Amino acid sequence: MDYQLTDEQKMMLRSVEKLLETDYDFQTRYHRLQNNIRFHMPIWQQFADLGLLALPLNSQYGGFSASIQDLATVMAPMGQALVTEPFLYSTVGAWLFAQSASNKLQSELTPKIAQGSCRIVVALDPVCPSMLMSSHQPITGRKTVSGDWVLNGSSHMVYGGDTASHLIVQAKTGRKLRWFVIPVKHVKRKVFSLIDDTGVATITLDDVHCNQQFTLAVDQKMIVRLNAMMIGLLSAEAVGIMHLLNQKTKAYLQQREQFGQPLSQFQLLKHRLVEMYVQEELARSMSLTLTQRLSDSNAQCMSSLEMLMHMTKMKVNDYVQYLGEQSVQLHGGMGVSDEMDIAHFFRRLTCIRHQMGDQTYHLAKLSVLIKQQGADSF
Amino acid sequence: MIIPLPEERAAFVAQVSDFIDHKYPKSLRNKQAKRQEFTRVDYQRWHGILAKAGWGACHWPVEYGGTGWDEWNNYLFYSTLVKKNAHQILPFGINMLAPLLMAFGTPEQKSFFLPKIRSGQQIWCQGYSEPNAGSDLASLQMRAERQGDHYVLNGTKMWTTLAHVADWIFCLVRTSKEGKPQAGISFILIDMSSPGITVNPIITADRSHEVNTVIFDQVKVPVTNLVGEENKGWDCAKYLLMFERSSFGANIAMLEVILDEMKACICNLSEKDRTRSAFYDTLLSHCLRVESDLVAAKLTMLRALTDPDAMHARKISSLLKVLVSRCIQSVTDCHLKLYQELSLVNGAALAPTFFLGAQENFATLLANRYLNHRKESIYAGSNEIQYNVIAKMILGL
Repeated sequence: MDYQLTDEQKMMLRSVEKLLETDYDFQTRYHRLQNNIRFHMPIWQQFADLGLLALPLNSQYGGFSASIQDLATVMAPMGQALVTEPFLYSTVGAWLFAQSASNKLQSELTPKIAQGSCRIVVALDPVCPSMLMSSHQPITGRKTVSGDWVLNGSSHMVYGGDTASHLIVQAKTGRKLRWFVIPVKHVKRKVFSLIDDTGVATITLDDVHCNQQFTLAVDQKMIVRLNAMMIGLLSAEAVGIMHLLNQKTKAYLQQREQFGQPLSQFQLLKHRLVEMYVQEELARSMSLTLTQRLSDSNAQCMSSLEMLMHMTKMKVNDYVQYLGEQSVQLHGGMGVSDEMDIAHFFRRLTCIRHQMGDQTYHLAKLSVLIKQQGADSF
Repeated sequence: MIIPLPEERAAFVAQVSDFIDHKYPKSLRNKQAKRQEFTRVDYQRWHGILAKAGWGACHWPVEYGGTGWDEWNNYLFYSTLVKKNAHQILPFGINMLAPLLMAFGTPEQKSFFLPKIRSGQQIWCQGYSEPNAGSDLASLQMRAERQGDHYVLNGTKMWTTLAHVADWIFCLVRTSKEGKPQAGISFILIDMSSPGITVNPIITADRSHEVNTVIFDQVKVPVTNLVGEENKGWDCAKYLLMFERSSFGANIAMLEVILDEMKACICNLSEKDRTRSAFYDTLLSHCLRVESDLVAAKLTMLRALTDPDAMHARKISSLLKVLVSRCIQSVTDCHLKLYQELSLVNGAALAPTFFLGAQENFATLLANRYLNHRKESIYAGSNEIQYNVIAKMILGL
């Protein structure tokens, strides 16, 4: 295991941090959101200019074929700046596209994704019970005589779906699951924003015709890796935010005086800060291990990857919840004010905790895996 | 395994396992199966076998008879001992005193003590706490007065683990009352057979005898047994703290064994006993929650092994101490939940015999294990003290 950043990763990290420091400070972002701008094209263009959008794309078509560790490195500053543009979701979409699309499709779309004009996001399986979504209608596909596919159904909570140009959807075709890329103009789309000011869409497919060349070669292993990657990148983002919150909370307690002394002098509050630090380190250990395990091509065992993925998300959720709630608590009234960044970080952490499954969800998944596969040691 | 071992590491583990299969004495196995306490001779016998193979102190530098393995192999070695149910080597000599002697000892001290520690011939204990010096260790009172080429020691050490077994004890003693409390402390090595030493047992909540009170009455110790400089013993104590982490890997391995047994048992029972499926499901969830904390602690320990820059040893030992002690306590508590009230029974009368090799007295031992391991968050600096250390050393508060 090697947890240290490579020189290239350090350089990339520094350039992303620099960009976000200058063009994504809290006040500028706040002002944009007041004007309902969740997706700011000039920022997206800068991501493209820096090469960030091409990271997961194949090098033979002009991408960088970056590792998942590379992508995780970029997630920390994205979280720390509370970026509302769908960087994470289009990165994951681009990754799946690069792994599974035909040569023709890749040579056509790769440059557009890299330049920022094309944004592909994945309509993932919903985590919430589908019984709770009255309009839920899983997408199905049938083949026409000409060999094309016709897709029908809907998908909820498509992250980044509000600003995407293309969607990757899975459809049940007979017994088999197949995957398709469809231009967003072919679907009906309802757009929502989440509590953290990022965007989602609900999409409905109504006899959408899909040419054979838009099918993707996705297998079960790739789906496990896709989910694990989402969780790994969300965790990396969370760790970045936790680190910043710990710094901010400590600084606040050192500066804020009550009872004639800085709050940081009280042992109870010191110990609270220590516990927050401990949980940040634990989250970092799990997040780094998951992304490293994903980048390790020698480790092929999918069931152990699934276990690690569920365990990571379950624990990172615990840490995220503690850090978020305690940062608010220790900032007192300042922690619950919308004008202050703490509340914004708390909202993002609350979203991270529920995206891709909360603690209960992953605990249940782990129980099932243990019962199926036996109690092998972690 | 969450982190698949590379081939050469797996081969190393196989080699160690094979060694234990062939060389671990049957009589010691029988003793463990009957849950009998290990004697001095038992400790020395197993340590001697390892020493003969060159593994008596495998994590030491080669120049002192270590193997020169990297941190990963050291971790794998000690955790394999645990997983193969071989007894752990006593830590006080090889893990704690030895690194200190290597750094601060005189050539004579090194050549006299280190080979005997490595071979397991000499058993050590640690004399730090006193009746009035626990968390505030620097307030210790035991005196050492210089008389010619000897120190004369008077005072009492308390909570001294295995003092009733040990040949030698290393102590922090007061050699001066000048300056700050930390400034007048010295680090001294004492032969337990010296006249004037009395060892009285302290029986703990689990009714076992691990710790003792050690009373020193006019005990003469040659000045050559002073480690480092007089009145600089606090530096020695701080240096020694860095090496405590070497036992974390073995502790984590022990917990992994318990949880694996437990999960297997729950899955097995829940298939046979459908009427209690809600109980087993809840229990399994509880187990997995505890296990996920253990995994997080383990990965943090492994990160500290492989990334010494980011997590400096001195800083990380407090963090790991807190994490591992919490895990030990939550696992030993979790274990009781499987047996419910059966775990309360004294003696073997109602001990369950339906699984786990039908070890007699097992359930009772679980309750005792739970009681015993309350010590984890108390000894070697309580967790509250560790929090103070982290606040100061890492957060700069």
